[in-house]
Amino acid sequence: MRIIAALLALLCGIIAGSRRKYDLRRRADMLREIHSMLTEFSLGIRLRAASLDELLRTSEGEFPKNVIQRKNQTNDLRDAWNAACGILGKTREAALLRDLGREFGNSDREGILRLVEITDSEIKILLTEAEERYSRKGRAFAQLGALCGAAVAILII
Amino acid sequence: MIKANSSALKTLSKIRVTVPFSELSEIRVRAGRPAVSVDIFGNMRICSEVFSAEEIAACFAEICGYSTHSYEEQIARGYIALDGGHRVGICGTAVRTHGKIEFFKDISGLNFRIAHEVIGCSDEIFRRCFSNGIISLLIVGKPLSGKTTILRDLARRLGERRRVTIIDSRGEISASVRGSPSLDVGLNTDVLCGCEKSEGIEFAVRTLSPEVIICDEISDDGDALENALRCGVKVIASAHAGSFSEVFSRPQTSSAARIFDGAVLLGERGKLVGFLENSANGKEGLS
Repeated sequence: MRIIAALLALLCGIIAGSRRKYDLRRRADMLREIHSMLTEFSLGIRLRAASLDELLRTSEGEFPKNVIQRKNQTNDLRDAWNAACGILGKTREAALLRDLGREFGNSDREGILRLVEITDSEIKILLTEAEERYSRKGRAFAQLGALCGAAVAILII
Repeated sequence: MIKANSSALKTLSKIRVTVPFSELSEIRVRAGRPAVSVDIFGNMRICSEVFSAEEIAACFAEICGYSTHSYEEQIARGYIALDGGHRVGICGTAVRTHGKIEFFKDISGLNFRIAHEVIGCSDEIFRRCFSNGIISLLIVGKPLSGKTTILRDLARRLGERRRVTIIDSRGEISASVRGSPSLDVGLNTDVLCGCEKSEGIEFAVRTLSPEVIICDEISDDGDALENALRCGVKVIASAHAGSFSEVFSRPQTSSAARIFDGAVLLGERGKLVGFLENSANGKEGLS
């Protein structure tokens, strides 16, 4: 019984560590996707004067897909955008995207381009930080989780 | 239901129009006042509670699909095209760059003009004016007299057998949305959207070899129209005026109007109330 409990504790530790590592990687991936989405937005607005709906439909990544999915349900792009920002949690990128979404429809081409670029430059900073954090702490979290799990397992045995 | 980008406008949900859609001509929404519907007979009815300036701004953003940057050219001309060929006129403060209107800010009012396709509304004009072949025709009428609807129906009829080009600078004749006509403008009809009438006429004559050019609301386009006529192309156009004499007395339209072979005057709801034919059989134009 104790061995099973110890094995379970070890497993939980490994999963918790891996989960933290996965969260760090996922945030970096998400920021990378947002960065590439904003780059596409910038090009789409500059070259094709594409609408927000067109921009989202032609962009790759989870965020634009999420907005489109929600837009099909609510029929309102702004509501869908805000709801999609909600899934990013209370992060800085969510706040940045929410601010950007609020300005779509209120600014002319130059204004919205400038805003997209400013948002993108902030996202780039966040991305660099997230990548650094992942490379520094990702492996450590996984190892720490396994170590904690092992320690608890030893204590149980 | 008025739609923008294929979805109903949420910001207009508090409007309750009692007029049947087929008789609805306009909905006027203004900040600080209730919305008013105007039917095709000109009757006005209050159809909502008071709209705030924020609601007007939200409605404007929604109409643009939250993408004013995609509609800058239309906004600079004072309107936005909606699905179904409807148009929204914009009231606000013009933002000028180098003396030219670039944008509108502080949007204070929106005028939804409902497009109606009335198949067969040009039958009488067709019978009166084109029974002996096509002539260059000017359609004269006051705002809301149905000039654009008549032009569209003429394009549909002529476009069944002849090569027709519509110079649709505001996209109202063809009700074009994203470049494609959303109403029937005829089988052989080409539509040039977004270009000025004079440059559109020149472009059409050079590249689309039309037999008939149709355009809306002529002003000082006399040279381009005359050039088209000299190339053997017939022109059908409309002009804002309450009578023939008003067309010939207005400096903006007088020179362009004289080159037509005939003119018709529209009354209420596209009713033909006057016909003016060139005595010189199209050689010298109207006078």
